[in-house]
Amino acid sequence: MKKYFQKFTTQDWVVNALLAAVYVVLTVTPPLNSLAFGSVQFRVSEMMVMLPFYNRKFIPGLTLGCFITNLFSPTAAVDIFVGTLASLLVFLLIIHLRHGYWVPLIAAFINGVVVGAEIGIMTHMPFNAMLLSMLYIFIGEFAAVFIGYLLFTVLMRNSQIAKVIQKR
Amino acid sequence: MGKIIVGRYLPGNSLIHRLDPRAKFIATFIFVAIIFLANNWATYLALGLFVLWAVYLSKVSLTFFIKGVRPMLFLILFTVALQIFFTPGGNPFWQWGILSLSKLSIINGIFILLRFTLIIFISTLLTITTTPLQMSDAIEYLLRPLRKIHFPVDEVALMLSIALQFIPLLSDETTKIMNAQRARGVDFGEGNIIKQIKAIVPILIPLFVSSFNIAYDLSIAMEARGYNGSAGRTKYRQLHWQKPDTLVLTSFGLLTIILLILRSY
Repeated sequence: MKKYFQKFTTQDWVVNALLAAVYVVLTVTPPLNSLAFGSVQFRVSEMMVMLPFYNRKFIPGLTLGCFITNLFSPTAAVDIFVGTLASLLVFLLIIHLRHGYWVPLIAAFINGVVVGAEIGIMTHMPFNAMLLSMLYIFIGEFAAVFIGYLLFTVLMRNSQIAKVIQKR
Repeated sequence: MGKIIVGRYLPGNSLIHRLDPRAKFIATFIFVAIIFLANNWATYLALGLFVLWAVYLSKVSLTFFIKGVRPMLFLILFTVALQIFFTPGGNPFWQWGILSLSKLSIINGIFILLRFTLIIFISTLLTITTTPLQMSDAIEYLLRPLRKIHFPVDEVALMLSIALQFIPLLSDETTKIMNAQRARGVDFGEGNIIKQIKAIVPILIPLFVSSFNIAYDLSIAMEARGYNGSAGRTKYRQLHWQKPDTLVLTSFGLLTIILLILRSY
């Protein structure tokens, strides 16, 4: 951990703070917070999960964004722990990937298992039902991050964006 | 600007509002842990009365708490239904395939409904009586032990307060960008999924570029004013631990003991 944070300059911290703010804004701004695709709805902000894959210095910002978003959640008391840790785990795994197309799968798997288990334990679900809720979360998250993957593949072709994201 | 209130804070001057945010944080987490001790009517009654008393002390109208339940309603009903119909055992008085209804499963369903509602109420109580800035101070304080493993607690706290300050500003910026793109003929939230995704690109690019630009300017401004890492910085807002805070934590300790006793009945 010490080694990772040693390279952080003031600018890196501030950029991360702004990214956290962008994550929260994308989660709460009305037409952006829920793209509907049939009955599956997902947040545009979940697409930002792709960012640490391109640059591992964005982990603190996105984890913080997730944390702040969870503060708005009705079940905040549980979510700010579980939701934030699940995201952090996802980020820590995806920085080791070589290909971006694994990111949606890993993000969906971890969120599905962790958040599904959270709901399951919170409500004393029987095991089958817990698997069902895990699957439901898996699908939603997979769709969101997969679109993020497509989107960032396009975005990274924009030289302006690629420059700010991959710089440093 | 300022259309979005960060968090759900409602200004007030009640006992709960004036508590030290650290006490509120710790108390909330204790509550989430001890709610799993509840296993019968008496324990749920004790927890429910305790929460209602806390809500009364906060002088916030009960409707705000009930509003918090609404977005979760679907999930709650779904899990309650699962619990009611799929719990095996008991003496089912109705059965159809794997679906069964028994007194036991209905009681379990009601308990889950209660547990969910209590977690939502206590979370709402925390977010409605604590400003995001107070929360960030409390988090900074509570994370301090992590310094031992070289976790940059001060920097994270700095990030948290910068992020909280810029949320309204960036939200304003997003609205501006969206209006600018609407004027150029982009439709948001309409058309098929491909169209909807394509409509996001012209928001994301300017939003990213402008937030990176803000970050560059801000970091230069900070360093020009002598910001040099967070070590040894003093605080503008000081937290004060007072008698009521200790009392709150004691009352949670008492509640835990009461639950442990009621539980075995």
